[in-house]
Amino acid sequence: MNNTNRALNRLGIALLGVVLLVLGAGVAVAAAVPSLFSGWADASGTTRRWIGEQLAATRISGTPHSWILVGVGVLALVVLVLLVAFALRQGKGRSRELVREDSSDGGTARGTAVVQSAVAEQIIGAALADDPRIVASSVSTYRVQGVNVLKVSVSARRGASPRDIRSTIDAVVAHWDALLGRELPVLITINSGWATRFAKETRTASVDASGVSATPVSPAAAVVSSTPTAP
Amino acid sequence: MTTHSQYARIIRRETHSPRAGLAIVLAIVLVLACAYAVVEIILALVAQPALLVSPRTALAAVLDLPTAVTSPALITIGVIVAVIGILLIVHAILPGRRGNHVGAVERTAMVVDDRVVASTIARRASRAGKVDPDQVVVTIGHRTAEVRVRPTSGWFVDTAAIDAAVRDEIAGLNLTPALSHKVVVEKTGTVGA
Repeated sequence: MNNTNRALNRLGIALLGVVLLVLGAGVAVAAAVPSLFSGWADASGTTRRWIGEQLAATRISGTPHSWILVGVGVLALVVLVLLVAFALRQGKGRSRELVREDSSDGGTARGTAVVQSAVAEQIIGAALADDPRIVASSVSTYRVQGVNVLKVSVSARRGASPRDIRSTIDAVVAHWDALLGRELPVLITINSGWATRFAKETRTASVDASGVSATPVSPAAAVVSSTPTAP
Repeated sequence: MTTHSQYARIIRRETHSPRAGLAIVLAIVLVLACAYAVVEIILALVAQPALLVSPRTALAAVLDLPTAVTSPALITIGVIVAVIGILLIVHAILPGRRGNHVGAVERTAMVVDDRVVASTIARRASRAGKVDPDQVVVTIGHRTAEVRVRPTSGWFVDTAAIDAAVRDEIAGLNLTPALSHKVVVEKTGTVGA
């Protein structure tokens, strides 16, 4: 939901993968095939002479060093800075302001109204705090394609129906819409986190299709597992 | 409602891995390598002893690779590096689906963890089959839900009732991709439940 550049992540991983594959396969094949191997040994001698000439040609006067060494150092430094910037850019995209409105209707009073994201986060969070089906909740604001989007993450109590939880949150969102006076996109994520694991199982007795109401269930819950289809 | 245009992007981002963890780990490895190279180059330029190898020795070692190292060792190293490369490429290309499903988009959009789906189906199945929740195991795949029921020894399990309840629960959830379900009653029962 954040604005991490996923295409760049995948491109960078793929690029490094291709480099390692070509390098590794090249070394393995060259070492395995005798004719290629002798060719490699010859080429390495030629390369050594060529590099020696290049280093001599670019010698910094008065020192035994070459400009190429300095260049390689600067290149490594630039790559380092770019990689640090790349790593730090991951996971950004949170927004502190939910709504900003300038009065531009030609009225006499001019000004700007700002609703901080924290308002939505606290109001919605407080409204969900007492729901028995929800163990924990957190609300955050992200900017997606120029629009602020609210993300409501809740940990469901074990056995609680996502349908019930969603209708609870939808009702809270409807109230929030009325309060704010406009409809922002809202994403609800229903998880089963640590809070779920340590909380008691739900005891709300909803009547099922056969009309038999539930007896309080044992705290040891159904063993539940999920298998993601891809790594 | 004009909010729906963002939902497709948000849902995709919520249901697929950003590959951020792998990208950050690789970036850190490369950063350390670059930092080390910079340090060694600076030490060489100011004529100080190298930390491990001077740039000149490193270059010579690379060029000497075919003569200095035996070819079985070279082949092994090459294959290991190539396999790491293939794994990285695979990770870059695979969709990296997370274990979750998407609900119907209405005023809000919803993404629900597979464990929550499994847990609600297990609860419903155990009630319909009148068995202890401990005796029901639900496994959620991308398009499948498997409900395994271990009967209480000597008691009949109403498979039809469980099947109907699970069908109803899945229909109510209305998830994307849709789940097809299967109820399996295990051959061995549990004693004293």
